[in-house]
Amino acid sequence: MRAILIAALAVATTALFVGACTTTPTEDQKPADVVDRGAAKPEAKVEKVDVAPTPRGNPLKDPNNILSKRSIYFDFDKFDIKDEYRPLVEAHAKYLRENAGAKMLIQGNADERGSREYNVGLGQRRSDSVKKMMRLLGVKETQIESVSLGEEKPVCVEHAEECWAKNRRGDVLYGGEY
Amino acid sequence: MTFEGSYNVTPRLSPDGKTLAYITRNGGKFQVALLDLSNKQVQIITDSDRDESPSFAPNGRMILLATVTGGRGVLSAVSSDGRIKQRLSITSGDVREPAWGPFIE
Repeated sequence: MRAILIAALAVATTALFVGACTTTPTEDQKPADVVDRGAAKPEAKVEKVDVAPTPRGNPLKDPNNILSKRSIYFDFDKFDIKDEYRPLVEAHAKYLRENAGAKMLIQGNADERGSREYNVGLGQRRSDSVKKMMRLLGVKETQIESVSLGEEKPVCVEHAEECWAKNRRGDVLYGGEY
Repeated sequence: MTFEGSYNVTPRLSPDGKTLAYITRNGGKFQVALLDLSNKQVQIITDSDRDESPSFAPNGRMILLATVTGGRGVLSAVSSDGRIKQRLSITSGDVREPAWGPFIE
């Protein structure tokens, strides 16, 4: 009799256990979907990448870039920027706007005509006019400094107009170049 | 002091305080001018074209200046009335901003 009771209890317990296991699972209890990733076919499209070489060099040094041009030339005893040099000034202004950490030094130069004292002033007016145009184009005051070298730094030393024209200029230099 | 000319720089007062020497732009030339402070008369006393830095002698009778000849800065002197001019030659170098020293008793 005792053995029959134990057997009945065991059957009831088993039934209870099975019943618990067959209870409908809640949403949280549902097993995660199994995806056979190994069987997946690699059908994803491969985007075509343009591998044409992009200019990785410094645009300030690239001879094909307008930023590599650094001199603005002036007429005799003048300091207004001629129309032909406006794109050059605009390009440098754009570079400075886009590179807030960049600094520029503008050196104003004059030809040998006129006294050295006068040419110091003329060179300063030339560098100031370049700076003023850049400021109007949105460059920060703290990024630009203008100085005059007067007639002391000629690139050409012949006493002729062809040479003088090369010396009437404003040179722009970036940080690390002066 | 004066409204004559478009460019007047480096003024120097004579020892007696009666005359002002300075560089003025005269046409395309930069020359030494004297301004008589009593009557405001201006007299240009050099005929060179790139003069700089006039300096009165302590007795006021001569003015030392730098000018340019052959692309080189040279020393020049002119009497205060402009009648006597003297080029003080150097064989090399470049003269800048000359100044007359004081007479030593």
